[in-house]
Amino acid sequence: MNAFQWTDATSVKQATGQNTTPVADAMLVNAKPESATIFKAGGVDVLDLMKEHVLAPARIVGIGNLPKLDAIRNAGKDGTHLGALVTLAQLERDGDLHKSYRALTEAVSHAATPQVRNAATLGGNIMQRPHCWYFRNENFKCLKKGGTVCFANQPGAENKYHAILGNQTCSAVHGSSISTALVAFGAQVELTGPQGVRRVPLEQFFVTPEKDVKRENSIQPNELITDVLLPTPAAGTGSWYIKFGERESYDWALADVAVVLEQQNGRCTKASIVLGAAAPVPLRAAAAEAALIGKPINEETARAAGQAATTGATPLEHNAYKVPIFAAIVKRAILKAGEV
Amino acid sequence: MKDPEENSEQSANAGRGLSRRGFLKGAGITAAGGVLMTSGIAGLADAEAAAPAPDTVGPGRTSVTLKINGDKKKVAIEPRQTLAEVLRIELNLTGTKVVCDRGACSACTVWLDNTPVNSCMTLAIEVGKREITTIEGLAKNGKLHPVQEAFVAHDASMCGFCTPGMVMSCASLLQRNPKPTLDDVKTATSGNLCRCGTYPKVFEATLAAAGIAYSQTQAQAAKG
Amino acid sequence: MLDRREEHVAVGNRPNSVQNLRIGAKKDGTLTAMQLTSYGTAGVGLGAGVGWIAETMYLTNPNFKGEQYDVLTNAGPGAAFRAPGAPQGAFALEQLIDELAEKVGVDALALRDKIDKSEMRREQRRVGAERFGWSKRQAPGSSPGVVKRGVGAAQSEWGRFIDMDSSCEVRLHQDGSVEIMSSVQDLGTGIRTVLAQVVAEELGLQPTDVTVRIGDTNYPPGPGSGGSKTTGSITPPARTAAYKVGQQLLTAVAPSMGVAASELAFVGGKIVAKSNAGKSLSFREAAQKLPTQQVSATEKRKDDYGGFFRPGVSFGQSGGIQFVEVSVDTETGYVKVERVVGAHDCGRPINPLALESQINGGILQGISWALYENRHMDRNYGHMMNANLDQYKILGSREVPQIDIIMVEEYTATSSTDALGIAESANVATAAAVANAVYNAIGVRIYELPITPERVLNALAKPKQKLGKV
Ligand SMILES: Cc1cc2nc3c(=O)[nH]c(=O)nc-3n(C[C@H](O)[C@H](O)[C@H](O)COP(=O)(O)OP(=O)(O)OC[C@H]3O[C@@H](n4cnc5c(N)ncnc54)[C@H](O)[C@@H]3O)c2cc1C
Ligand code: SF4
Ligand code: FES
Ligand code: FES
Repeated sequence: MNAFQWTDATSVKQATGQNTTPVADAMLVNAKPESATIFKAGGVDVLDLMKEHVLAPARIVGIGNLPKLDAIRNAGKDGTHLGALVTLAQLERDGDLHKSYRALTEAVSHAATPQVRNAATLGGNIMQRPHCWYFRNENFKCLKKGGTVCFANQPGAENKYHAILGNQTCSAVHGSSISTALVAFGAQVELTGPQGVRRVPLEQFFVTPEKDVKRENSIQPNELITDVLLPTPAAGTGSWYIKFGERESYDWALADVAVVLEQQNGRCTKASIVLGAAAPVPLRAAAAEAALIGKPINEETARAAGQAATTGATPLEHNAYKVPIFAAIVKRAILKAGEV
Repeated sequence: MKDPEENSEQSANAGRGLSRRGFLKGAGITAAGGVLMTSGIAGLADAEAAAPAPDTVGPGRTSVTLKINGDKKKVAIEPRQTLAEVLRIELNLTGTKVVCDRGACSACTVWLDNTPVNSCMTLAIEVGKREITTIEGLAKNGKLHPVQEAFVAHDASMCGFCTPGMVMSCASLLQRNPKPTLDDVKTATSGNLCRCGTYPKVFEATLAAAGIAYSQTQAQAAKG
Repeated sequence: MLDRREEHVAVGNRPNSVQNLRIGAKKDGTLTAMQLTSYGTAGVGLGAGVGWIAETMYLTNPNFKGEQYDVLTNAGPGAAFRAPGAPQGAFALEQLIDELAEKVGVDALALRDKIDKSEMRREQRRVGAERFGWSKRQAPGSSPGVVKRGVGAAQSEWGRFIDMDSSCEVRLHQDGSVEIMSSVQDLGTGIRTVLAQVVAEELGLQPTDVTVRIGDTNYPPGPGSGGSKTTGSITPPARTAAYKVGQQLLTAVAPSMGVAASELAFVGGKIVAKSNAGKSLSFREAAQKLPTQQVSATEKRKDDYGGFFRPGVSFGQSGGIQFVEVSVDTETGYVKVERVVGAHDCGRPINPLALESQINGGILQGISWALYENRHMDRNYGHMMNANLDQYKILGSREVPQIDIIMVEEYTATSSTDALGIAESANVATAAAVANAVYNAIGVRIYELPITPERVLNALAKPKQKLGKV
């Protein structure tokens, strides 16, 4: 790790006045790392990038001690506020969340390791950079780092964990498996910058490579995620999340899915189905959602929705096997969510 | 998305990276500050008003005082030093092991205020007032912690590289949950990688330390 | 110290291997010939050595032709990784033997009874099958439902290697303390404890009474850690040295006890007259009667009694058989090992607990290799892309099955401890057994490791080959 200056911010106002750059910009090949100042929360992703020598900021602003951002607050019908510094472990343990947002607590408890969950924050998790092996390797200056090539889509390249949808420009999947569930619940992120506060649906906060391959979201310089708001689910909502990896102990998702369903009189009235590790952003499976509306939830309808989930997939050389996996886990998650 | 102005702007900025205007348009978002509102975080304004001025230190060494295993240690550290490095190199507390140095094996597990974290992914400068417990701090008055004793009795260590981390995970589990199930032990150690394959004995030892009889051949029956 | 990433990139890896194996047999299963051509990635080094097991496992085979090739790559040297070459060889051999059994219509273990000369392996098959419940085995692919169960078995073998450069010194001090010194090192296999046990037993003491000093080249040369040879090499000289020191002590105390030294024995921390148990001296008191401050003996490993590799006893190999039960999710391709029974031998076991740990380790690394581990080299640029531990996957706590170990003890009277190593032979069979179990579950063979969801799904998607019937 390079040497850097350390500023321990004590308020959001100070933090957003430190002339910080989003990490995505600090990592560009032509960026001047010696002048970049970045934010760090739990540090799991920041230190990983720095140890791999793909990020070398001159100054780090620690936001771990900002006040009030580490609470989970139920605001009644307005929803539930999750402060940006809430750790994954806090989310995992929260009884109310477990009751009302089961898919989220499932996602959190299957993310990373217990030790990582104790340190990693919600804001940092949403902001983590992709785990494409080429992107994280200092020897490869790929498109995402401001280079001219995508190494993952060359013949023979290592892309078995990459995207099967929306993968034509850059096929790195988003690393936040928690965002899969957050998007399914219609979460909104609150962003605070020097000029004030804005709120954006998380789904729209993420940016596809076609819009800008060099970043995964639309955070601005000096801007912090301060809060994530989860709308209150309607009565009769059921949800489930399944993460599929090659290993159960902990593993990056090969495929994950969050399903949030509303049912009335035995029929599905609203469905939110989001695929993780399928595309460069958490992806709503609109065709799968449409396949369920107006239908009862059963093996047959769930299977049909599972098949529909990856409609239009364009697998790469080594990842076509993800298609049937998505079909299976979407089906299973729908059936579980429908049990409520 | 095919806005010619945007395209020309992006190419004009190619390589500079930090210019945001073209990107913002592309992303279809009004510039920051376009929608002004107050934060949904309760009590933020008051807390903000009371905040002290921030400190900036480094990149050279700064003196900090760490609370480790009940002692206070003054040590001069660089902001870039991880807690694992400071423990091992500056303080000669080499019981904590570094295997992956990336948060992926938990060999370096220590407790911060009784919570297990990876010391390789924690900056020492950030520890602040939190109490650090390392493997060296588990034994009390010359007597091993019950989990350590059980590890010895059940041969739950082979090469020993993962062992300090395993012990810290398992001892922490028993602190939170004195009567865990096999599944609880598996969860508590789900981030602790052991190359040698001590897991069955780690499970046995941890359950034994909790007074629960269990042998590795029962794994199936005990599955929760 | 290197971290894991640096180890992977700079130090070396278990060689990848391609094995082409052909077997000729009569209709009753009798072997007539085997031909092996194997290739291993030696990286920038030599000696990938990935082929001998096919030659040595089934000695009833009259004709063997083998060719082994090292493939040089610009990718770091091939490195020793628990039983170099043998797991790769067993993965090919033990699947092919199962295929042969299916073809000639006999049970996979019954065929091995016919073609395997080893009496030890026969006994291991018998006790292992019984413990495992082999007789409940179903026909391949007949398990119902989406998640299918299957069982399989495979044998392992590893040479009984001995390092003649294995020596140690045992010292007894006038204060009664006992030390053993050797430059042998403990990688985690427990040789430190084992040495204390051997010396203590010889002198009628407890292992905690013996101070073990190892891992320092100032001490007499010890065996290198490799080839599972440590215990078999260093325990015989340890026992002999302890015996010689003991004799010096008995000689020193015999006059005062009024008994001939040959009439004295070490029992429970005392020196006792064999003919009169009432006549005894504590070990510590006895040591005070030594004429000098210390006595010592240095011993080295001697040739096995009767020479190495006695045919008819063990064919020069330790080994075992492992039985594995898996579940395979046919929708996602996920394989989980649920249960393992391992029947093994290593001469005379000295420390059953450490032995169990070694076998656990062999099995768990075997499962890890069978299902998860893979070095991904980028074909275009030659970099290892998954050098870190979140990318290079090894088995974790949730992947640990129930493991049941049976030790079949074997007393060959070849050395003063009769002990042999276990660590490597415990790793050889596992991946092959997992592969045979996966086949039994889904009725399709997978010839490539690791057996990932991707490979299982691809295998299931292929038009079914003609399925054998058991
Ligand atoms: C072994 C391992 C396994 C993992 N498995 C998973 C998994 O299964 N699923 C998953 O989702 N993740 C996984 N992760 C990733 C991990 O969850 C993230 O790295 C972590 O959540 C990042 O949070 P942090 O607080 O440590 O962020 P930091 O590293 O501090 O920051 C990450 C990024 O976010 C920015 N940032 C942080 N907070 C804010 C904020 N409030 N506002 C604006 N920007 C901010 C930083 O500038 C930086 O760019 C894994 C990590 C490891 C090491
Ligand atoms: S997939 Fe994306 S991150 Fe990976 S090499 Fe290609 S451009 Fe870079
Ligand atoms: S060394 Fe810290 S997690 Fe591996
Ligand atoms: S004991 Fe060797 S890594 Fe666990």
